Amino acid sequence: MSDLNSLSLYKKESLWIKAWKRMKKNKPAIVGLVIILIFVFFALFANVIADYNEVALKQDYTQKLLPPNSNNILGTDALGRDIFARIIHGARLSLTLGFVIVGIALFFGVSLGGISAFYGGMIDLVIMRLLDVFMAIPPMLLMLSLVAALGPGLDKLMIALIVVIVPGYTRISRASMLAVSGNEYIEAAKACGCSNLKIIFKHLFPNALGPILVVATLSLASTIVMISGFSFLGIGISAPTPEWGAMLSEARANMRYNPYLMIIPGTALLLVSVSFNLIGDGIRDALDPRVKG
Amino acid sequence: MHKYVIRRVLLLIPIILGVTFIVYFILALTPGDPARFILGSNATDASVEALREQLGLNKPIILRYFTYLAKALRGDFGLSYSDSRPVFDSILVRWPVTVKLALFSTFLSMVIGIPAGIISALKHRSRIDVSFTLVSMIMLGMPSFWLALVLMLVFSLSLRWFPSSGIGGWQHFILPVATMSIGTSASLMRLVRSTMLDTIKQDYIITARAKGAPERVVILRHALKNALMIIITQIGLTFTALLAGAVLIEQVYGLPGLGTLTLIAIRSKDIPMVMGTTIFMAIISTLMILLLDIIYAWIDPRIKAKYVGGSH
Repeated sequence: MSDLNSLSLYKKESLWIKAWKRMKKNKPAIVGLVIILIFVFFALFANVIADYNEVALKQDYTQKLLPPNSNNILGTDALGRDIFARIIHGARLSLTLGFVIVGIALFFGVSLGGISAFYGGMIDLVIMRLLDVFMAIPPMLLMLSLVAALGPGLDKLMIALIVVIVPGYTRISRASMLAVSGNEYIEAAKACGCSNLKIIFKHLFPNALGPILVVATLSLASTIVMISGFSFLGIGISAPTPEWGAMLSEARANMRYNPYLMIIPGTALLLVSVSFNLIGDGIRDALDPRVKG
Repeated sequence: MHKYVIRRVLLLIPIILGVTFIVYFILALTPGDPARFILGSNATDASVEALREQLGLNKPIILRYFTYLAKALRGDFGLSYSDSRPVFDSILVRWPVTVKLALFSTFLSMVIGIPAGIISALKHRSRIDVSFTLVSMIMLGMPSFWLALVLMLVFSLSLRWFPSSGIGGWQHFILPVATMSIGTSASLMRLVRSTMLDTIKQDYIITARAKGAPERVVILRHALKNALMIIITQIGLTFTALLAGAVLIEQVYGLPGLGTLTLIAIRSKDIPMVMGTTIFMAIISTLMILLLDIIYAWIDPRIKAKYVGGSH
């Protein structure tokens, strides 16, 4: 019995541990992971390093448009606010929003995909046809009409982004769960008399997780860029909130003579977006060594 | 062949209906009464009700949608809330800018992405491949609106090579097209690379080589041709993404296209205008995908054969 337990324990861990071992050898993915961890660190301690109201929002016209110096390591903006403080509070905002939006979208996507894959038939057909139509609309077009209909505001932007990314998640969840459900161990679990719920959560879901995780990581990058893009256009998060896209929009007026105003938030956005893409690619290669290019 | 085209066109109808219905439905659910909006807050309830009746706002949404679509197909997208002029007139003036931007950028992405992908795949794991792949990762993650600002700072504000904003000659298109192609050429390159890597391993490539076909013929005639379907599909998606994504770039470079029009309409809550531009772009996107489908069928002998009925 103890042998059996250790055997099953070993088998359970092996997939993910093996994947992690492969991923550790993937230098770009590790670089991406380190960069994200640095941003996460600053985001977590943003309030300790620089208070939100006292530093990130405090305007001081005597200190405006200072290039990077010993007091303000990334300089100050046109309203005399410390850019470093705004960048780390921006990181806090962007990362939180990214994870919350992707998390909620994953919940809906995996549930819908699971229902579609598990029940099949009419339910599957209706869900998939509906998704086909949603996916035929270019994402940006769908975003624009949703933002136009819902009006400006952070909560509305979040709803719009979730609506745009759920169809993709649903499709990939359904496909990977269908692929897994054809396996013999699922048949075996059914034959053993496992309940539907146990099969779904214990066998189907963990084994179908890989592709979903890859898509989710990649869409963290695009979601964060999209939030900034809409804030840049003035129909997302608005001033004075320290959001990277909003900061870029504010920087436009002064960028000719103070290029750092525009370079810094953009670099932060680029680093986060490229890092999530590298991690996503790394996870894909690690989980499926056959396609490793 | 024309049977295939007819089939594709017929398949297109439910897609256009579905896509436009979703956009219509989303925008029709906007809080606020259009009749009240047109008449202003001083209007009496009776006159608002009369206008609602006149505009057909009391009818079920599905009926309103078909009325809207029937008019839209004749070029009547209703009147703008902002200036009470026909929405279609504004679209007619603006659409060439956006479509040109999207077309040029799609073309540039192909010119950069396809050869880069082929080279990367042929020199698999070489230094060129590694550096191409790395550069493409950075290009892929690049926020387009930020890149637009950087290019504008370097090439128009500092070097003064190109105008920084507005519309005029071809010079005005260089920076916007360059910006828009960066991300899409990277994704096209990655796709071509991975598809070519898969194709090169196939038996018929080995056969072609064994027959002594020159490497150029093997790659272009055999490998690339079979990777074409995936590439053509991607080109369609690239175009549609660029068409809608142009809003950010038009905004930075001050180009008066459909994106700018949509953005202004969103800000001023001009729902008929937003509906007009989005539905117009959705229809163009779908037509582009149809066109590529037909081009693909024209290239692929398997589809041709299916519809010619085996008579060669």
